[in-house]
Amino acid sequence: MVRIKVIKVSRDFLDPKKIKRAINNALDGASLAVKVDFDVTTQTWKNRPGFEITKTANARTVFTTDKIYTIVTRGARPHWIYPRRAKALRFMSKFRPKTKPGAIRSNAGFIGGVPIYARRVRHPGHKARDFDVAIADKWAKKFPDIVQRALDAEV
Amino acid sequence: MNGLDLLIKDLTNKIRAVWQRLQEGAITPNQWYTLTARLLARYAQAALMLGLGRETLTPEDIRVSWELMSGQLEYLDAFRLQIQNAAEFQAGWESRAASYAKAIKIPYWKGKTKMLPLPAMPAEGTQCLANCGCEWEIIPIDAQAGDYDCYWRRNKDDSCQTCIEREKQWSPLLIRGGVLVNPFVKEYLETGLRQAKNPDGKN
Repeated sequence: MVRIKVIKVSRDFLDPKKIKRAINNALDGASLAVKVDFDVTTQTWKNRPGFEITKTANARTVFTTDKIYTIVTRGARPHWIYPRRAKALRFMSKFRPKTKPGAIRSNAGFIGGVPIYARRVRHPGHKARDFDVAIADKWAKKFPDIVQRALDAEV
Repeated sequence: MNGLDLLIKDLTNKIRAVWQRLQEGAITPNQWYTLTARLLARYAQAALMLGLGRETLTPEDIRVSWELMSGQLEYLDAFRLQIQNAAEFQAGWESRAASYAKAIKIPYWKGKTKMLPLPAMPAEGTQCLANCGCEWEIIPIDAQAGDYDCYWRRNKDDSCQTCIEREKQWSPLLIRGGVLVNPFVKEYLETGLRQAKNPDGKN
């Protein structure tokens, strides 16, 4: 569903410099809020990926180059795992993931039970978390408010 | 207790009173929705006035306060449908109804930080929603020049992950010359590339 929201601009708001500054402030504000949400999805991780923001004329991009985060976000199909340096694989029998599909949060997770040794393991894969989709949906709805705030600051 | 807390307390009592009437069968869920939405709209305006430090609102201010509450009214409407479709009242519903009173923090902070292009207000986009106990602390460095240091302050131990992260990343956020300084920008990609390809700026 497309949400249309009227952004009102004051009559005395005619200075192009002010408009440009408001647009840039809104883009920077939104990118800062989006970055916070990405960091929330990894708050309980031991090795947290870094998120960066790039700036172009009329856009901001929040991204990471972390491979693990990409796999968690995009999901994985079932696949076989073999030991590379040892003779056997070792893993614990109980596991609860720290994240859930579509949820902008991270939980404590759990690894426990008894150790299991195997020559190979059929990993069941995991559902895509789609953090980027969830965060984009959330802030696309709130973006008009951020723009309005940036415009209000100029008048 | 500050002015906002008093407003929230007063609104909570009024919302509870309306809920009581619904529970007694004196009003329908539709009437409950209308009365509660009216209360929210009225108190949102009062909260905005309090934040702005003024005793009157312009039509523009009223429109803004209404818009800021529109998200909450959507939640309230979904709640109305849930009540209508349920066979009986559930435990916790009254508290849920009363919690809408905390949503007037958003217009309050909108008024309080009107002149600043901040990325988000307390209770806006947080996991804790209206329970958010955070605040913006604004320190004017040179108000005339548009220089401010803005600190996201958590006032509760039980703040959510969003608030913890915001405190970490937005304490402070700098506004210099009216421009929100983005401390996480890696590079000015477009201008950087343009300069790298054409360092003299010639076409």
